[in-house]
Amino acid sequence: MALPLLALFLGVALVASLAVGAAGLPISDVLATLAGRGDDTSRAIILDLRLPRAVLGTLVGAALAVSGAVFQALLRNPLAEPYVLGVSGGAAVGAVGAVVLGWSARSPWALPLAAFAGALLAILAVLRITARIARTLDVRVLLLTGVIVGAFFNAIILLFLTFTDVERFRSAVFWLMGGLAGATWSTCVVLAAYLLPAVLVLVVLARPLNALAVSEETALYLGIRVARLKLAAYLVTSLLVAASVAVSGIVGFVGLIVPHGVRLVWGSEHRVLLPAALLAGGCFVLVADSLARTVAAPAELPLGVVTALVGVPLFVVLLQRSAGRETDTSPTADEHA
Amino acid sequence: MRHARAGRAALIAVVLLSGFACTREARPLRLDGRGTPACVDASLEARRAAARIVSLLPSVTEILVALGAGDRLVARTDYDTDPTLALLPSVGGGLNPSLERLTLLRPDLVVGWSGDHSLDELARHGVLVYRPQSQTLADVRCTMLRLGRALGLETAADSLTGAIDGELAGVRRAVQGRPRPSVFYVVWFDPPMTAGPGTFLDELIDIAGGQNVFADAPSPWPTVSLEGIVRRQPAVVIVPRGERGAERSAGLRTTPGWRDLRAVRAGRVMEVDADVFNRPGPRVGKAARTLARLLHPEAFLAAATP
Repeated sequence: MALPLLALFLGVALVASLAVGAAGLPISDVLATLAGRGDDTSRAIILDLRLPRAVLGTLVGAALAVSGAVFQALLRNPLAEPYVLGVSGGAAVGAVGAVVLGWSARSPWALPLAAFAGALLAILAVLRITARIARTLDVRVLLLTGVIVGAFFNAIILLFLTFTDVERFRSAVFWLMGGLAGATWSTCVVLAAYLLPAVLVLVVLARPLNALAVSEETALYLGIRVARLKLAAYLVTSLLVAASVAVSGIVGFVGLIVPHGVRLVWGSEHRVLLPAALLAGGCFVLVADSLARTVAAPAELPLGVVTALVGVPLFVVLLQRSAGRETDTSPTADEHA
Repeated sequence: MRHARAGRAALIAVVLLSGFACTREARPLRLDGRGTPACVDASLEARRAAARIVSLLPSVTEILVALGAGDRLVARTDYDTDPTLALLPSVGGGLNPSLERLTLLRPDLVVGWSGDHSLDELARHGVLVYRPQSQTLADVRCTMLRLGRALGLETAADSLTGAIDGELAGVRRAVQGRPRPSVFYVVWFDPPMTAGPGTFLDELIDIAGGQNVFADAPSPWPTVSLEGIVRRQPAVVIVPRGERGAERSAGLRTTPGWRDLRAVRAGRVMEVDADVFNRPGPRVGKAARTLARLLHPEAFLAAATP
């Protein structure tokens, strides 16, 4: 029931996001262009700008939401989201470095590659530090290490920004606020190349994740190799986050509120939760990006700002409802809300 | 927590940039404002004999040199490339000067960005701090006249503004009655920022016989979407060529959005000297002339062979 409904929503959101934008094209032009007619300008706007952007938005939303769902199961912490583990900090250092050092002006691939390299560095650093402190992949140590590594990378970003000129400063800060303006078919292909295998792995992991979400002991009693499961889930999701941050900057809250919303409606069985989060995440980012492109037209709002502005109130409502139902909200969630 | 920090970085940027690129008071666009009350600044008048000047604005540095006060400058910024200033010590980029270094230079007049409140500390220690508006051509005139009066160089200021008025009027005449091509001016590329209404660049485009495609933008320096630019299909794209401008305009042909502009496909992307165009200073007349030649080459051919 959940998946066909969400797929329908996603389809509607996709078409709607092609129909709205700063240019304010009439709906008849949009339909004509999609049917293969339409003048040069409408074709350029819809097929060269809006379509790759909508596809990339769907992929980014799906990747972030599914990563959030997995992290929350992995860490058994409702506040866990993709960015907590330092991945985005690493990606941001790479991206801001590429802007500040001028590489990004020379090649369109410099920024995503640098962001991805930074994210990999962060993942490795967090894993090594965690492994050194706790022999098994202790989630508390993992979480703390992620936060600390993220804070360190943040300092490096601010250092970079201190020593740059206004133009690069501006580009870097806009990147940090997240956005899909750089969407091209090649970025879509790159992200899809990460998303598809990652989704396959996560689908296989869905059942063991159900057990892990209850407790590590439960998972052990059920004969699951917990250490390997945690490492696999951590690596797959981190790579996914690294790839999406590399192409879209820092788009927050998607990994936090989408899985929570899905859990509230359809429960926390991961075989439903993960694909539902995938679709709902795509929907959420598409809608947020459509708002970002239209609310202040001809200017664009940063996508990360819109997801936060929409996401935080939504999250508060979700928290109240789930607290009312006394389901999976822990005291830490209330504390931070 | 990560978001909070990213958010703070963003806020710092917004504050910095608003100081750099925004105006708080809207003033009528007027070129014939000589001696209007708006161009009198009592605090500046009080310090007639400023002898040690630090200008953090490259445009004002150019004005001071043009007024003949270049020898009163005791420092420069990294952007002041005039060879006559090369021997002066640099105070950096001009946006976040070290107050210690400024104090050591013992200036009696410091010219800074209109939103730069870090200079308040200097003002408290008796240094005259002048933060001119530099949004419109009228602002540029005012800055010239005020500085001229403050430095006892009224005649130089009058002839400088007179010369600029003459240049601008000449350009206006040369392109009068010709079709006005639509123009997109690239202030910054990523994300695209352009010059909107109430800016000297918008005025220069108009004087040079062009039609700014974002003349109706809601703010003076709007960040615009590629979609919005494609929708307006400018006939000409103007790219100020600075350190990095050339690299970027070469890449436009392959970038989605940019490559959909007829101006880009038809090779109507025109590079201009960023230092001349992005500085509201004594070279605005030259900027208008350069732009008019690019937009209406035939008008100047005709003028050259009467």
